[in-house]
Amino acid sequence: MLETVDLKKVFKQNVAADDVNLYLDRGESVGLLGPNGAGKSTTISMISTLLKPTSGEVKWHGDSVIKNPSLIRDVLGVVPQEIALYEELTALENLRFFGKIYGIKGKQLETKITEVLEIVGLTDRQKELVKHYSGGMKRRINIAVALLHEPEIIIMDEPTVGIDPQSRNYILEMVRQLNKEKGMTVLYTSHYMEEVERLCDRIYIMDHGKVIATGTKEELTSILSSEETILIELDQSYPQLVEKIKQTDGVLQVVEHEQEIKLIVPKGNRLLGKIFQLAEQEQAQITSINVQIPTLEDVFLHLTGRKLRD
Amino acid sequence: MWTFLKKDMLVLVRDKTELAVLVLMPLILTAILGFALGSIMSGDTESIEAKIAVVQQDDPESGVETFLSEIDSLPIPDQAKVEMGDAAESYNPAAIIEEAIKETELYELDYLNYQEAKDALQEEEVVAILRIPEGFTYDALTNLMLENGSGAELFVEKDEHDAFSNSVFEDVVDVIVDQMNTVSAIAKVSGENGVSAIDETAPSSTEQIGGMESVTDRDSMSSVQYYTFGMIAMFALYIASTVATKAYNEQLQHVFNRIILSGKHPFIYLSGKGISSFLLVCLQVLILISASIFIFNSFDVESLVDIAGMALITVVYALCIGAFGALLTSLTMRANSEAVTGIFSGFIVSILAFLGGSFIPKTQMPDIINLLGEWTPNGLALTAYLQWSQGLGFEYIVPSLTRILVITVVIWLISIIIFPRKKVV
Repeated sequence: MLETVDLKKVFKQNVAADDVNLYLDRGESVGLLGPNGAGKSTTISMISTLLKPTSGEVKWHGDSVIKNPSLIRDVLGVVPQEIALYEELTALENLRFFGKIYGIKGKQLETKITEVLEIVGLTDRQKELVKHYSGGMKRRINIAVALLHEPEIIIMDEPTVGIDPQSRNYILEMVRQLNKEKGMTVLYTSHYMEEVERLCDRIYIMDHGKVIATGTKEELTSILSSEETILIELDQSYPQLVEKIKQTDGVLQVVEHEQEIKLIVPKGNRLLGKIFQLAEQEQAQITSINVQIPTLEDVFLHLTGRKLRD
Repeated sequence: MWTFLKKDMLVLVRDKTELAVLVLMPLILTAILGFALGSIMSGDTESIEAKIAVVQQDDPESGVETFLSEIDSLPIPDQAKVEMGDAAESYNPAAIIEEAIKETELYELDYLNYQEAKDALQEEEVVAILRIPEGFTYDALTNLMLENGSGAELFVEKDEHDAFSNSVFEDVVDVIVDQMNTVSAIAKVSGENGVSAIDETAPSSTEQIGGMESVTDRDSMSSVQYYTFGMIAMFALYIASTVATKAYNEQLQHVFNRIILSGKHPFIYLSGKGISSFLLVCLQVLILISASIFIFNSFDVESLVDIAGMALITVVYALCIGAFGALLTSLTMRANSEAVTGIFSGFIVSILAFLGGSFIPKTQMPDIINLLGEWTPNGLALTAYLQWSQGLGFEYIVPSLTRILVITVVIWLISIIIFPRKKVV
């Protein structure tokens, strides 16, 4: 239905997106996972016709969107990372304005507004100025505007950034319902692994402008089928211990975050004894130790040597 | 398009700071400049509304009779005696002075006897006493027609209270008397027609005491009127920068992207900014002129023609500001920086306002500044407003309006050319 072919964007000397190939089928929920600066926003800006690619193609049912942007604009809803609303207007006034510029009028517009307000759960707050909304409410109205013209595909660029867990959960559930119950095709970008894991049928992992892995969650984590993750918590940070663990034979990846050390090691490799020994040498107190099933975070760590939120 | 306009209006109306700048600031500045610099313009004839006690100790009829009997005994031809007699009977210098004082509309005259007048002055019920002494008419006639004596004398008595009003009154009387003396001198030089000349050119004090010289039959323009138009011409420019600032915010908050995604052509957006500026200027002018009428009581609209002319000038000027709004929007979006509107509102508007005469009346500016001002849209609009409000006809304002329209077309073309289109597919 929608695909990108060798999509590339170069800003001066910086390659923001490098030969990105991805596709979306009708009714799918696809995740674009990567750290900040990975090229996710650039990619979706090109898909949504807001940014002209340096090279490559975006195709909608096989036709070039680059040559004819109107092909996709009517069927596309975009939820930008920013709150793209008039804060001096009420939610209702915002919805009326954006609805009208999409050519929705009269009773049809009022019906659509009622519908999207119900979806985002802000019916009773519709007459308040957006600037008086909480961060979570702004995010929800930001989504509501993108739903007004009943798009076939909705592209969401980090729609949960900077909001409280309750609002985040509400939005995630809303996206899930749009996809599963209303059959809307979703392209969801995030650097939160758990969101993508929860919502998406297929996932593209991006780093430095490139797609470095793709597949279902199971396919991606199977990359680490021969490995396992060990999470060690200490009473405080021990940089020298981390260095010694890195030099230990059999340790594939080590990431330290405050008092926490995450290791990726080959499955069945008996390294725990060695780690306890090193901790004793450094007089470090281990408060807990866990052997985990690999996650997408671990996949990213395995592929790049960095954490998603680095 | 209406959707864009409604949204722009709502966004602006809810921005209290911007509203204050666009509506309250020009009113405050009109008040400050109008009243504070009114004396510089010599155009403000605001009423002092002070009372003057007039003590009439002279008996004009008796003075004229004494004068007539005196000329009767003079060895001059009978014809001359008849002419002088006729002139004397129609000449009442005290009445002329009183009338001239009333015409200034600055003072109310209260006719009292001398003791009552002194009491009133002491009680601060009057600011000064104008005493017309006994024999004033006779002395004035004798001096004027026979060139005898040292002339007639008026007495102004005042005390310390309300020093401003009584000193102005003294000046007023001086001016009236000087005027009469000048006219008398002219009459003497003009020979035999002199007597009648005095009568025909009785002082028209208002023109001499204050008020801008008017070349039409309209009242002279007050400083408040002038600055109302000056501030309108200046603050309309701020609307262009306000609209462009809002456009920058739309770009910054990615609302502009949403508009583009809706399939609306970018030029519709740009036109919306121009039309919003146009409507906002029309609204601003309406508010400022209404406020000037109701707060400062500064205008008397005499006919529908007056309103039509003002509306025409406003529409033409608003079109030009619409073009400025579009130009600043284009520049701001191209530069992707608020600096463009910052420089315009913080620097360029002040320069344009100065050149255009919004701060200092055009009549008091050097020719070179006036010349430059006639190439600024605000200067041209101000000129047109002033000309029209002074009763000059349509043919006088056409050149200014034509020039504004030419500037408008040029600016619109530039704004369309530089509006960024390459960003989107």
